Amino acid sequence: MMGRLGAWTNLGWHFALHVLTRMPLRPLRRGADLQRFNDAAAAEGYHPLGPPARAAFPRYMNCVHCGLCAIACESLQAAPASAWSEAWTFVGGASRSLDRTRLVAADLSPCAHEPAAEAVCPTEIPIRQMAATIRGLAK
Amino acid sequence: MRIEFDVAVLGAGIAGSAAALAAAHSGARVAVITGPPGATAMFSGAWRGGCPDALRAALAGTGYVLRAVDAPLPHPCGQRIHCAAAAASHAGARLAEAHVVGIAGLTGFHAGSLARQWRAHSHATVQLEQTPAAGWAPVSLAAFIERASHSVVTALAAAAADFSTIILPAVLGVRHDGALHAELQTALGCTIGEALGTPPSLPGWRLHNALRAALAAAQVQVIEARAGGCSANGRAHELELPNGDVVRARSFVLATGKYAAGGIDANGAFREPAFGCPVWVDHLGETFDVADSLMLTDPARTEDQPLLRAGVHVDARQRPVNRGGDVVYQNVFVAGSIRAGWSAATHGSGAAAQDGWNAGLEAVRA
Repeated sequence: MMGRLGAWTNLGWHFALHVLTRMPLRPLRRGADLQRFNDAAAAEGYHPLGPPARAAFPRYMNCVHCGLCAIACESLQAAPASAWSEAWTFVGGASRSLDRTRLVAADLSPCAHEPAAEAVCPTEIPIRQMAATIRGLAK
Repeated sequence: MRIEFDVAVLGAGIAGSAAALAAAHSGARVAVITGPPGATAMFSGAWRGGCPDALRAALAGTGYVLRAVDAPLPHPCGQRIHCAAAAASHAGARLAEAHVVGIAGLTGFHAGSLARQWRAHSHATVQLEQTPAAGWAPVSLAAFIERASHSVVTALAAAAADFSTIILPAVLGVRHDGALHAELQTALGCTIGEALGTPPSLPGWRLHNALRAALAAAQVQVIEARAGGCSANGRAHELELPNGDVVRARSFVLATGKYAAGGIDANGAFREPAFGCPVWVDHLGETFDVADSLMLTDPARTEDQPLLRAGVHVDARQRPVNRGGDVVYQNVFVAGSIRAGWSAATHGSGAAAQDGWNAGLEAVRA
């Protein structure tokens, strides 16, 4: 009972602190709050998208996991030693979430340049553009 | 630029290709306008229903031979699939006396569990040279087998030694001509049957390429584009391409498929993007022209889904009609899964092929 009361008190205190001081003073902090948020999110692999990437992202989400991109990919056919066994997830994973960019950025090198995969995508995902966006986020 | 044909076919899947070949065989000048591949390229390898003889012959001319099948074929989900025909590489997968052979590093094909589910004779797993540390992508493995078939023969020889039939995953090459399958059978001295495929499906990719090769052999011009149609007075006259070119034709076949490649748009109201044909689905006494996911989804996921029955309704000559039954376009003929009432559960490859063939002949007669 006392523990619950303490938790509510703590929550109420911080809420009041936020509403009464942090919110009114935010304009004076010159983006420090945003920087603090981004620093915390970036450590988890989440990066803010600029307006062009935000505008394009809905098209990335159209992946239906058919795997045709992986079949058409000439790099996968030519270089089995470097191929990833679930290659189609280069598009499928990125189409749902742009986190963990560093994990896939290196493997997306051909995806950002070769047209073959993009040409066979039934839902017309701009694969090259998406791959380039992910590689940019990983830097 | 304006290009003229006798018949213009929208879609290069099974139905569209069959329509184009039917029209070409009847002497028409034919163009196929197609966007990216759709459901045909995700084909498992199991051909359900018949196939027009001329289409079968056209495919055989490219090296893609459809053989009759009289026993169920193994599917990597563990099921045994009944079908009428399959490509030669699958047709030999007779389960009763088969030895299932998996390939180390290839996910989705566990030989031991599949052999039990398929009730096959026995199983083994082989290790190929140059197996990547991260495992095989199906297309990487298929391309490797094409390039290094001799090393594959060496790896399989021991596993196949005491068996008349072995079943392998669907990775015997990327090419559609079956040459690699024949080569391996000769080298190993036994029957090799490929299991059916799942996405990313090499059997589907091979069928897609075989159809394209058949169209090329029939001198059908294939234009890679999504086209919009122009019409007046109940007839379609031409198709506008994104680059500004215009394709004019005396008649058209609409075979753009259902949802996979955008033949039907179901974001909100149903829409057929090429000619604007009316699309609706009748379900439980109601008519839906909006893709209501709550009403049009059966909670039993294994049941036929009402949403998949949405499509373009047609008359006896496969011309699109509105809700009053009036023909919308006198010279447009609809074929394949874009039709209302069609779904993969109710209609297979053979039905699409026959429907497309009929539409192609109607288009020539129009």
